[in-house]
Amino acid sequence: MFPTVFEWIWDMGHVIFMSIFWLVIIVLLIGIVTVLWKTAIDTNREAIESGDEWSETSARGRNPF
Amino acid sequence: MEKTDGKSYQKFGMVIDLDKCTGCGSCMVACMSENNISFRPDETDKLRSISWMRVYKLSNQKPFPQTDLCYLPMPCMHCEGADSGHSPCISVCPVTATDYDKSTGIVSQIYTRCFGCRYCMVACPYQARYFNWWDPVWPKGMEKMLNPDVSPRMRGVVEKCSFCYHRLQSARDKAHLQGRPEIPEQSYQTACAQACPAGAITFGDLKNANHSISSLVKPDFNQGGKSKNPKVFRLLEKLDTKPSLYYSSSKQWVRDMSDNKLREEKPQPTITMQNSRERRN
Amino acid sequence: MKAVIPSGEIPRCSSRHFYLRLLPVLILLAWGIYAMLLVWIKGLNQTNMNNTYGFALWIWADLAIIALGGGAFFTGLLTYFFGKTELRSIINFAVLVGVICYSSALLILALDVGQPLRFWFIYWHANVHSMLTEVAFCLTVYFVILNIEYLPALMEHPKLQQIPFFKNLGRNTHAVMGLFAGIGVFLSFFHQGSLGGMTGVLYGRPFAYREGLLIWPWTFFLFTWSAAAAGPCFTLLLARLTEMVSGKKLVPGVVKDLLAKISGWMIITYIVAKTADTIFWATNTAPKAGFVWTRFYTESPLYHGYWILVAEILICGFIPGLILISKRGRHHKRLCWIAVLLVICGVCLNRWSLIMQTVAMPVLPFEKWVFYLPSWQEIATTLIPVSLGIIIIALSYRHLKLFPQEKELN
Repeated sequence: MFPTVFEWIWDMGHVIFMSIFWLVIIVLLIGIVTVLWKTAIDTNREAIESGDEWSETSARGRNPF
Repeated sequence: MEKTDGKSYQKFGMVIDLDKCTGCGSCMVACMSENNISFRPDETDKLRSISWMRVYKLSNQKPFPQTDLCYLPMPCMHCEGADSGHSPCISVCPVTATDYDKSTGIVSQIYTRCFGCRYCMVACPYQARYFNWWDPVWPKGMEKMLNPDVSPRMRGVVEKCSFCYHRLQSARDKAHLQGRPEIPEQSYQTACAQACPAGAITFGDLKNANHSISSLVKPDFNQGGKSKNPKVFRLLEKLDTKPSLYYSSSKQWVRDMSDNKLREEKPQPTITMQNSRERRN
Repeated sequence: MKAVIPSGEIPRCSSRHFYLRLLPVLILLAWGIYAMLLVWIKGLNQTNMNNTYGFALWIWADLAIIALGGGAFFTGLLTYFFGKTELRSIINFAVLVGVICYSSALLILALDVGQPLRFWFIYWHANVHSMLTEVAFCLTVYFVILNIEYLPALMEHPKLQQIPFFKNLGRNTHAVMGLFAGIGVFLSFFHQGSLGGMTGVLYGRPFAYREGLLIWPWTFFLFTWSAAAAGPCFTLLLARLTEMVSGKKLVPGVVKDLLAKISGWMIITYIVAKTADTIFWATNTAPKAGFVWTRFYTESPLYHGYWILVAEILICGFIPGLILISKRGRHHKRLCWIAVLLVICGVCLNRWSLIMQTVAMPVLPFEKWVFYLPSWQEIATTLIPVSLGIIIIALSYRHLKLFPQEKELN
């Protein structure tokens, strides 16, 4: 699965198969992280806009950076 | 023994003289004993039995007095396959639990790696692979008689003939201790070859001119190991599996039965025995 | 538990009535779970598989289920990449069917292997040249994607909609659905194909072995093609069954018609390719191994006779294909549904033939045919997907907005 694992050989089969596999995983993870990140931001923004009591801990208490 | 790039390449193989085989089954018994092969109290269902070496009984299907029989012992063929290592079973195993060793020509099986998908069993045209449908249960006291050099297999893994690889390891150790560069022919012999009372089984290095198998088989490695001896043949040559196991027979009908032929009128034998122990019982 | 009806406007039956109707299915599921536990605890000796039938009912069920679950990827492809936006009224359901099919396939795989706890070897010690490795990798990732694709429908549950995080999660996932659908299509192409490749690469089994393109035997492409044809048919069939049980119209007729037409063209083109492949195999590939193709169908004529070929190619291939591509055929209700059923049967027959007939057919001239009948444990566990599928569809239909146009159509 990884080049560090026993039996890994730097042949065309391993390179093509694993590079495509990891590319798919990376794209998928980027998609998932993007969705979760956007969701967190949207939820936070809505909480602030609605004057939610938790908004203090999420906005004012938050480090602006 | 071929020496290239500093490494020695051997190709261990076997030739079974079907003119000598009497179907006694000693090879099967020796194999089972040597390799700690498990068995059940009721072995009626032969399709779930494990017998790394199986003796088939073939018939020419002619009426008396032309009836002729032949016994054919069949272990794993240790196929080289195309591109040296593309054996039918090796190419399909998803976890590399089986591998072709180029330095010995032996197809190995790693029991601790196998997760029991049985794809290799489906791929093997010789049905030389067996699955452990149960955990091995040895009769009380018999566990003391197990061979300490061979690990028993638990349920859920595939096993097959290993050309008694543990004996090769012992022979290598012995040769190293004795300071020999080469393993003598008699130092590494399979259990079945040693047990055969008729001397029908010859085992050795096909690439070593000093080994008797080499002169019996006369393999042409430019033709995928095909034998130059007209009496010697391999099973299912057309599939190009390049087995390391050869058979020798002076009977044409036996040689004809080694492969599938396109002519439909050729009689196809149907009476066979999976295991000659069945005959005794 | 009181049903929280999607949008509160569409009536559902009472909980008592609902669970009473599900009772037989729950009993079936319980039977399956009992068999499953027996297999896991006692081992594969609980089945009727043997050293000849290394692959049997379960592997056939796996291949068939995955083919029928192909509706998810193909409908997704049509919706998001070919602009067939009208299919949005069935895409949620298609994805749900996909989730059920793939989770069932993974469950059956977990049962089928001798050492299930070693499943991670297939990733860690992967043999990249094996088709089964490809299947495992693609299946796993695609199953994750299917669950992600189902998320928006799940998030539309009224209780979850009240929680801002889940509401936004559903909306944001929906916004990126094209990406997930695209990855899903890519992975589906490979794993559906690899399942075909699994049999096609068996050069030791002349019945199954096929030549092909580079490393891929022709069965690779034929399997993907047939999955794309049969998957939508299966989705249509289940949608129709859901309509019959619920007593409501759930999918517009024009959507059913479109999906049936596309399926029809897929099956017709597939069966032409399949016929060409079979002829090539019979006249070129099999003879190279010393087999006249008729041997495969005459040595065990009752179980593996010519009838399989006729059934698969003609009855379940050409005939339903021709019905579904013709407008008259599709508009004739009974004929259309018979055609849909035949397509599904055809794909199941194809998988059966390539698995069971492959292992049954002896290769050595002196080996014999062996008969196989699945054990009750195998049957019970194979029915788990059926019972689980019914329960999941029933619960999803009851609590989620599975069919967006349900309100307009009723």
